[in-house]
Amino acid sequence: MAFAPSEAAAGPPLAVLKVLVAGGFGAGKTTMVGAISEVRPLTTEEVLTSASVGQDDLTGVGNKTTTTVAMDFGRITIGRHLVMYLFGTPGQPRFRFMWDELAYGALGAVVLADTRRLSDSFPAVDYFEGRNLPFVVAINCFNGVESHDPQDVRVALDLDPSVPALMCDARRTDSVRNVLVALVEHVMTGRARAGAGQ
Amino acid sequence: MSTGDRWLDHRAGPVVRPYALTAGRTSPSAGPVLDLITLVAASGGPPSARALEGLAPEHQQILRLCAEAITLADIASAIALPVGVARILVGDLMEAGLVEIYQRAPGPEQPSTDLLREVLDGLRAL
Repeated sequence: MAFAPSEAAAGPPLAVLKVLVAGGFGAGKTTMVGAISEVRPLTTEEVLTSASVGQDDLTGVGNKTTTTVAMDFGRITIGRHLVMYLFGTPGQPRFRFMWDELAYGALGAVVLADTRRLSDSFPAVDYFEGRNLPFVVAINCFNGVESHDPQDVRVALDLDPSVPALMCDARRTDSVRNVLVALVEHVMTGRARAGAGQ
Repeated sequence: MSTGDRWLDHRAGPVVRPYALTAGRTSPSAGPVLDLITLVAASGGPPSARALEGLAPEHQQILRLCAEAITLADIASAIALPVGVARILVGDLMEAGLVEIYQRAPGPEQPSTDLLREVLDGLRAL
């Protein structure tokens, strides 16, 4: 879809932001992206040697290998000229080659955690920590019942105290919006802290 | 040569499925790296018939999409081709001077605090 003048106020966006939604299989990534934007499919059929923006470590990759990965993305028009893209990211470590490209230039990430399979969130948490990409953990409560204390999840994932962890219902627009607000606030807090010289 | 081998001789060219559209190339020939959210747009007015001549249907389709600034992710989704293939085809059009980067997407340098504040206000107003 092109940025037709009628869509925003006038003219194409002045700023485009990228946010990743990562999580294990079935954690609700597509639901989350769909709750706040129109979801569209995207495929990557990547030869590993061109999989990322010239920065992947190809050590040990003797032969070229192609992998097809389907993912979802959505677009949120914010205000007059701001557009935020959400990319649902396969959470399994074998898709790690895609993460470098997805994380490149990203504002931050949401790790969508399913309390039934919390360990599925470990690779994403590790990856974003390692890349110093700001992220929040959104604990998806499918039935709307807060069956888990965010504090327990925080301990289980061994989260840094500065990383926000909050409950969310990935089906609800307002809930997903709150997660994104938490992420942007977290990015701003981190920046203020860096600016203060800590 | 047996009949079964006939399609796989050197004249068949590279046997790479979606990358057949790119003549087997797996990365753009030159130019800046296009990120998923890099905006690209047609360079000038409507492309001349001469410019369109020799372009594959996929190239022409992308060129039409680029009438308005559009991201690589949107292009790939619209033409239902993998991102890697779309990136190469857009690169071809850039090389031909038909398409250019509209505005670099935020790279390692992050958006300003003012911009983030605007994002925050916009999200809260959703």
